[in-house]
Amino acid sequence: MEGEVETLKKSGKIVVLLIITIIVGGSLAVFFSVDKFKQIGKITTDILYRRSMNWYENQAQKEIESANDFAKERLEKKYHVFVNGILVDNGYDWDGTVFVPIRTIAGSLNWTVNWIPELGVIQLVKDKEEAYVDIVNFFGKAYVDLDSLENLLRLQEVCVHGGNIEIEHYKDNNINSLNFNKMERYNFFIDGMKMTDRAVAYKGKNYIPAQIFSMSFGKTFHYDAVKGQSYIAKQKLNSIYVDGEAYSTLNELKNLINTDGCTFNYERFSTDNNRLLPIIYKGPKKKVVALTFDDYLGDKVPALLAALKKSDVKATFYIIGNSVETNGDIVKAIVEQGHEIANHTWDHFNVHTLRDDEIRAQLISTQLVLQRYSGGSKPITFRPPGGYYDNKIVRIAQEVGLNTVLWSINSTDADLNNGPSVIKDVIVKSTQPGSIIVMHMGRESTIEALPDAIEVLRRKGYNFVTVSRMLDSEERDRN
Amino acid sequence: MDCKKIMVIIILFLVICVSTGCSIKKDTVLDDNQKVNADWLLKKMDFQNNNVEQIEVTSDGKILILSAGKIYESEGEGFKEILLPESAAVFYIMENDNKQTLIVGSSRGVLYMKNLKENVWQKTALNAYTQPLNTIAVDLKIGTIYVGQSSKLGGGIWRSNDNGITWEKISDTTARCIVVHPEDSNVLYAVDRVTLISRNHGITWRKINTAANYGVLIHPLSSEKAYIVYPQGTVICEHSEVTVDRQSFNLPAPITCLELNFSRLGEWVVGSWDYPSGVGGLYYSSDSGKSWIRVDDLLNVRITDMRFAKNGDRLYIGTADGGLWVLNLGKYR
Repeated sequence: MEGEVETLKKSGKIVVLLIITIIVGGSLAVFFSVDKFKQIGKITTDILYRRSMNWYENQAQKEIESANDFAKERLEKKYHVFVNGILVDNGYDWDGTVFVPIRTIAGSLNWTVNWIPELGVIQLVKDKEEAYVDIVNFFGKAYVDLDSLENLLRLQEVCVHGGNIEIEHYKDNNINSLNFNKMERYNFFIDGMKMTDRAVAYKGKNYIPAQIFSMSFGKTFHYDAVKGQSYIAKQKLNSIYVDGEAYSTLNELKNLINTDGCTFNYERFSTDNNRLLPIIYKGPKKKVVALTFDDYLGDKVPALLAALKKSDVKATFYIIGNSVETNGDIVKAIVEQGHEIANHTWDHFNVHTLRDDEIRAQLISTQLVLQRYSGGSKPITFRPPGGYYDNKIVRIAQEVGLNTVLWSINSTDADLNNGPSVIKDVIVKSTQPGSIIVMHMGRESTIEALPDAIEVLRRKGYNFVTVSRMLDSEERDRN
Repeated sequence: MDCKKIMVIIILFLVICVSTGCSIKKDTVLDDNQKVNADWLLKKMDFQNNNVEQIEVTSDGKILILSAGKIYESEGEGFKEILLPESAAVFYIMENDNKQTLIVGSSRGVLYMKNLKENVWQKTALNAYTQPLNTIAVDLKIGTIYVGQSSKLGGGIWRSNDNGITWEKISDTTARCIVVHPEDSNVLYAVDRVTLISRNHGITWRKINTAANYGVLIHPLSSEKAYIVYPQGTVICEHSEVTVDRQSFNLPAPITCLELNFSRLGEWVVGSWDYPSGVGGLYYSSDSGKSWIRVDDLLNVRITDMRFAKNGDRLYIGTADGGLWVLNLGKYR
């Protein structure tokens, strides 16, 4: 008994000594490298979080997270850009230089903006004037540094203060912008999808942001900042201005945009406190896998559909909205062959660079156009371009009726150096039960890789399902 | 367990912790001391972490630098400031008749000149907008000085045929770069929103059919071609309005500046930089831009200007917030 007590005491001392040692050792490591300690902490929690993923899935997750961290860091110093009192877009401070989006700003001053792909420059044309400018392509949007733009367009006055960039240039408008904070606020819905939470009441009428409504129907909206006049598809729009933004009544907007079949309603403003739906990276731990194909519809898609048909596989297509109208027959074929259509936004911009209402318009416009061309099928999932997202974006998507879906396996087909054998290898080695694999519609190498990859996975016992089938089965399991 | 063994384990553990902390490399962007060695490829000369906007090199090896509105001249191992009448936006060293004349365009549109060895400035009669002057070019064959301006108030091209005493505005076309043909004084290029060519000494100008407008380079040893620079490479013309070829460099970031070694055909250097990723650096080519070697020690550094030494053996490199560097080109040959 005494011996046992002694042993216990000794063990206790050893444990205490070890604990002290760990604390001291850790402190020393911190002392010699503070930054690394933070990383170690992060890595530890990451390991715990990712214990159910394989190496490829971990890599995919890390890529998504680091891309989002990078985007958020680069977009932290944001400015609202006003041209002659009209809110036009956002600009950013990158390493001490202010960059602004050239299309919206030059467009608001009535320059035609063209992209010259072979030279990688933007051409600006107005009357007999012509100019060329190198741009920074940040996630699909073209930016130019403010000083260069000021010089190029000979802007009369540019003022950067607080969180605003105010550009004044031969202002011919008498815009009297109303104060949003002094107005009654509403949520506005199109077919049950929240388009904005910034609708207002003014002098007994309801007004909604005109540009957002226009974008929600895929129509071009133009501000003439010199005259202070808005246009939809080149037709003049009657509007008031609220905080520099054009607002119109629903009737005015319906005069210029065909909204047949759509229902609209207003609700008193309230924030959405519903539980946020989880972001989906992966399906249930069953031998099911979802093949997903992103981006533009085009002439390569029929070959992709043929390959999927031959292998008797149903897939999910995350479609960019602005490619639907010119490829309506392909959308129809996708649906008729039993595949699923899903939302990949209208323009494929990095959603971090968009205002909340712009994100809503990107989603709603894609929903409406897909519904129209698919014969009524409505996407229920959305994939943010590039995997850029945050909780706010997930909530906005939820308010439009969409689950946010990412991926657990990156096929790497976006790298044009990767041929069919590389793509097949990645798919075959990395797939786990419940994997969601991201690929792209326009890649011939992907189409070539698919039959063999599918064959191998099938031999391993995998079934191929669409994303919604995968989610359904997970829901059933949970219940 | 034996106490001694426990102590050994504890000590080993502590040593490992200390070693881990020490061995973790901190990121350094530029560390001067690491760059210098006896048999050097690249070394930092001066200006610490300042922005070096323009570099010029004289035939007797002097180096002049424009940084934050001030001009500095090399003196021994360092640089001394040249006192200016006002803040400088651009400068040029004109070497003729055994004289070195420093021509300075100010931030307020005034042009000054002086003998480099003297202290007396002459303010010229150039009448430009009260905005920075952008470019100075000299046709040494006939002693003509050209000045270009492009600003939000306007600009133009001015010319002096009498060493800067009198000036004539030859065009309202704005210009932020003017290049004179090394052999034919009638041929001039002006670059701003578009690239223009004149074949009559600046009297009339025609637009070249290209969107490339980063600058124009003509090699004196192969002057039948002009290289018009754009973000990814060059467009080539043979001193007419029509371009004949295009060359893409396939670098990871757009070009910030391109220089040709006038002492050697085919030896080119390019600075490249991408916003907002910060990817870029300095690249060297010995085959006229067909292939490029990256200068690793300047990886992801934004290059603002470059000049070859007159004998072509060294390259002086100005950087944004990284000072002045020199590259030993002998290492690449």
